[in-house]
Amino acid sequence: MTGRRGVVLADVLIAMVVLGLAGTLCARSVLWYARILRGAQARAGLESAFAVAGGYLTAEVGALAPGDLLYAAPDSLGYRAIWGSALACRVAGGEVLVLAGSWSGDRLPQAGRDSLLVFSGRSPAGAWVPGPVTGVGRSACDGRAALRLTTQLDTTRLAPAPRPAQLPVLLSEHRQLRFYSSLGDWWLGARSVSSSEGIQPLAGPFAGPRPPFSYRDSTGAPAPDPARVRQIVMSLAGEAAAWSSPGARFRDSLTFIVTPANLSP
Amino acid sequence: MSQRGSSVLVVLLTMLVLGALGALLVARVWSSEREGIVGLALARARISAAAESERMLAGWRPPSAESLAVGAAREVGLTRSPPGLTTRDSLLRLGEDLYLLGVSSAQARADGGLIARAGLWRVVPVRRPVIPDSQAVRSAGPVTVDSSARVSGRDTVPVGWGSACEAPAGDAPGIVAAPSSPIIVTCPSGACVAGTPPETRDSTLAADFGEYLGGVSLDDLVAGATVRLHDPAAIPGPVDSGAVCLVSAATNLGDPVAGSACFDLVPLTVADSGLSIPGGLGQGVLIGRGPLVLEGDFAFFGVVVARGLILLRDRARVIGTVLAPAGIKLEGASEVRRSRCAVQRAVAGQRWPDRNPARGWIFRP
Repeated sequence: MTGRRGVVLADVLIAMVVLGLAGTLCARSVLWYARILRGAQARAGLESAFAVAGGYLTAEVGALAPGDLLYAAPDSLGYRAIWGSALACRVAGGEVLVLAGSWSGDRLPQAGRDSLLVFSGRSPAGAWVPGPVTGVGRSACDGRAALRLTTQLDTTRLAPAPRPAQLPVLLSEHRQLRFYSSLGDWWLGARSVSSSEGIQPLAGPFAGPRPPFSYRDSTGAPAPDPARVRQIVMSLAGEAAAWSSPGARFRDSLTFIVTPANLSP
Repeated sequence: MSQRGSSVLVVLLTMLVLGALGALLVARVWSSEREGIVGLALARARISAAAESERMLAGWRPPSAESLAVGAAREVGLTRSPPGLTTRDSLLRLGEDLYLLGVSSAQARADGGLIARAGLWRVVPVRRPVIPDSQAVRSAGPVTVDSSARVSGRDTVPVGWGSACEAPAGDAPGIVAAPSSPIIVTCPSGACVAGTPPETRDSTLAADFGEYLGGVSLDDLVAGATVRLHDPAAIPGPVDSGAVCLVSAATNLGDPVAGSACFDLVPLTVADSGLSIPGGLGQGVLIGRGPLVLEGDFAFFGVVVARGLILLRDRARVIGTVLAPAGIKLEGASEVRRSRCAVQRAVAGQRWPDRNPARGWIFRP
């Protein structure tokens, strides 16, 4: 019996030592694993921020045409964003009916916020006639559902009758893309200037404060004048926790170059 | 026993926690990879749609497009290459000379599920070349007319073309030249140049006036030529098989003889720089990529334009107009006679899509 009691005490001591070692090992593994996880998440987050920023820039400025870039600064750009398109089945000076089936856009037009551009139908030069959207309603065109956009068009710029049966129509608004600081972090944000909304964060956080935007003309030289811009360059950098050691950071950067198709010579 | 039981429990719990953390990491990495796949597929779809629209415009076929009624649409293409990527083209005729080319590309998984889709519209106004027809010869370079050659600004309706032509217009100048272009006429009293007036100066005539014919560039015309002449020994002329015109024959420039099998073939022809055409017959638009020599009994009904000096000799004839930015020389019994009808007929079938109109690219999700 005595022998068995001694063995039990030794068992307890050995078990405590083994459990202590195992616990220490487990704790270190968990901490190490958690660091890897945090690092991987941070890296994925940064890459995701890059992807969102690049995708947004491409979608927003990829179709800019001459005159659409309103200003071009190192930390921001203002532009006429084409966010919707459709075919008009009737165009008059005061209203444009667009076929609902041809509509493509994220939302419906809003009076007072959006503008429209109607293809004039003139050949061969081709030009677009602008007008404000002052009202939006439902209508029909030869039995097909249509949106009625009340506007004020300069009809003298439209092709004389008989006009093309359908004319492309674009919906636009004034938007801004800006690199800004908030609570110590740098973000890429966007806002609708036409609706006077505040800046909304799109992607980030990025490394600052170096502004990310630069502009090139058709020869690749810097183009401070918006009218001469043919390429928009956005260079972003970011930092995140690395898993190599506690407190380590890694840095990554990416440059996006967008050449709007409608600005090609 | 109880201590050993606790050890197992602790180990199991630790393994569970580590497994959960691992699963989280795998999920995050999978999500990231998925994001990357979608981004890549979207980029591929966008590029494919843009490239397809360029391909469609480069291969624009006016007869096919014009067979659409105004307001009508048609699917014009479907490709499934590379695997998983489907690209569809549609053409909508918005007006007489206005089209909308729609292209949509979709990238799918192997099981058919959609990964990403991109689409665009191309606004396509169609241009027609504008050829000045109020003269026989228009030149920004030196003009030389030898004593037996002839230039006439009187409007001529080719024999047998009456039903295809308007009534002849009034007389126009025989030669219209830039202010600094020398005009050398060697026949007595200048009688070999006819017109009202026989010759005149145009201060607006630039040295490169032949590079743009209305909204169409000479490069566009060269790129769209259906006949290419490069063999100096080849004699162009109509090629038919009874009542059937063989339009694909390499030297078939149509037949200006009304009622013939190739009368309706009015081609756009490009001649190599420096080529001499030793004889034959043709109609339409003849473009010289450099100097061009027309000789023998060559007769052409329509428009001749060249980037180099144009030389007519022997009994070569042009009925229509000659645009000679670099100059023209008529030797022997050669002749240029103005014909509005021949000019109009030469350009009637020519249509060119404007590939870069304002806001021609419209991207759609």
